[in-house]
Amino acid sequence: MPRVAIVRRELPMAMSALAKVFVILLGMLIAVALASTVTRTHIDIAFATLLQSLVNLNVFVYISTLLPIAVGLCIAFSANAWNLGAEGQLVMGAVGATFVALYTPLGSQEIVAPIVAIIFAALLGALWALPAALLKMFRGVNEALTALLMNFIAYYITNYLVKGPWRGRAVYGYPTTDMVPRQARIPMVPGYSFSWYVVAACIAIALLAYLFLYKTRLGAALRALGSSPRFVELIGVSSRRLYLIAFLLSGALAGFAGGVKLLVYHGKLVEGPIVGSGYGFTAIMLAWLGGLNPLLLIPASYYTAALYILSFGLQIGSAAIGDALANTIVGSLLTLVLLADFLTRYKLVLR
Amino acid sequence: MLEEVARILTDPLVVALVFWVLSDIVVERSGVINLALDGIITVGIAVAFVSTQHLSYTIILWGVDMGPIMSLLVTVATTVVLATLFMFFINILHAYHVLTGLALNIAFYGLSALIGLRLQKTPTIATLRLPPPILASVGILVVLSTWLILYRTTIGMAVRACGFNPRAAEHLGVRVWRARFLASAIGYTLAGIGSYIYAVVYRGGWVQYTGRGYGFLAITLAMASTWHPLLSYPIALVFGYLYTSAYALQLLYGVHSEIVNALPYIASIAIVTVVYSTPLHKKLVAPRALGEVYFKEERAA
Repeated sequence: MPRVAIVRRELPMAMSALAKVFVILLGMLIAVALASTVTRTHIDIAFATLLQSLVNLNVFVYISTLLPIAVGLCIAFSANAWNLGAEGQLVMGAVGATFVALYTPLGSQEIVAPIVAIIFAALLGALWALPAALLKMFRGVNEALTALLMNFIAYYITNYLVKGPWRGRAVYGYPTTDMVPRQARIPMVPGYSFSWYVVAACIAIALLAYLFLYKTRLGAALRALGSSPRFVELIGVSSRRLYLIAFLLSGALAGFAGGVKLLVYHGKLVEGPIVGSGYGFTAIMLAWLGGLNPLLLIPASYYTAALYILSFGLQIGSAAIGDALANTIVGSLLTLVLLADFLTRYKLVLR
Repeated sequence: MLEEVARILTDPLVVALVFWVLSDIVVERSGVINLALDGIITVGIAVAFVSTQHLSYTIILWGVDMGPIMSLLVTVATTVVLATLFMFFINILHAYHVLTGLALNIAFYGLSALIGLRLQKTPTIATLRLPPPILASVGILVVLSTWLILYRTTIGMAVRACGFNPRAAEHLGVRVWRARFLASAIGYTLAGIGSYIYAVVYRGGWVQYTGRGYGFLAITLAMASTWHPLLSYPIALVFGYLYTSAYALQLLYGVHSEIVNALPYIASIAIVTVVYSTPLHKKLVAPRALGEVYFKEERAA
């Protein structure tokens, strides 16, 4: 009887890229088919909605949160640091921005307020990544699990703040803080809930991260850390320090995303799960869809954003179905990415 | 005091939590980071809820309604099938455990909502009333039997070996992928029963994403008990107590309920830090190869 064996292989870059493109097209097909079946709309309408969502300016709402987180995770994953805490770092970033904007005198200064708030958000995000990194470096505790747990601590701290000490004086119904002063907010594009400044900053971050990872000595060492830590030590760079840098950078970028999301989109601190809404987890898979290359993350985040918009564009009757559909479509697309990963890295041999 | 203990032992939510924690322990002992647990539990709860509505009083044998047993079987079958998909990605496609778990989670959250929204007849069901002594003994029995399976049988030995050092296990004649599939089948049977208890015995209702987050709580509690079934029982009871009486604690001692909710996660990190920093880690051995993608090199033909 022939046995099937799984053997490693190396495909040229072009072939792997082709596989990703194929997955992306297949994902669109699945999205349209699934969306039209579940919402019982005609397949033509679903397809038209897909095309519309590709040119919908609202994609930038999703991109300005997803892209910076995914870029940070790109750096972390290149160094083999499994930072699963992006969600919590995002939420803590939002908390930090709220603190600066509402509870310090800086909050009412034009221009200074948003800049300080975002820097503080990034610092808090990095701080939230620190325990997992330190525990891994000095005690060998699995960083994926500790970082994951920090997410929930961030959720509950935020819930506590908005229900307890930070609860707004003029707020009824859902627990939130007061609105952030107008001076601290980042101006939005009229009629949309995103800001061109932020979009430009996100793309600049992706470019800088690319230059850092692929054009500097430190970046090259960082990428080598993923495959062989011994080699990095031999060329005279501390692998621990590199690991810490990668981890903290990803935390800071997630914190940045959180701060920006708060100052642009929410305008006030809301409950933790609403601030995060799973972006931290989606961004992890997004980093993988972009093949851990910050430049490819720009089209990848655009594509993911369009899929979100597609499923909300098709929600007919209830918002619940739209959300369920968005999760199913994005989840199955990300699963397909893993399948494509297998096909490019391994092959099946009959013998 | 004794009344409180009895209440916790027989609380269906705590019993469901015990099942989930044990399920996670069995799977993670085989070296797989079990992040898909949360999504699969969510689907399991939706399926248990929907199948109870559709199957009650459809099959009656000897004058007894077979509905509950049928829907329990359906739930367990669903969770085991989804777990097999998860294991297929990890063991056959050699995908990273963490990525597979998260991607499937997102898809499974959506799937659970689609199942529930499309198939539910009404938003509530009559809860199944089980006598408290039965609930308590089910909890204790499942803890003991999981410990027996993991620490006193050859299968359990093989599963733990895969979690500690898959390469060494392979040399001793354990088929790593087979042991991991087996562990997931055992583990997710427990997870299915837990989801059924949660949906039908405890909750009796369903809204979108009911049960989301309990999987991560189970992963946390498993980590806090250093993946040991016998230790997991007291830990699940303590946090079950805190969890079910969060509001009472707020009234009595002024501790905010959200802080109580965060406690398991803080405690889990603290416990792991202490265990890893002291000689305790020689006694309470953690699955060291957790999350390692195991690839068995085979020469191409």
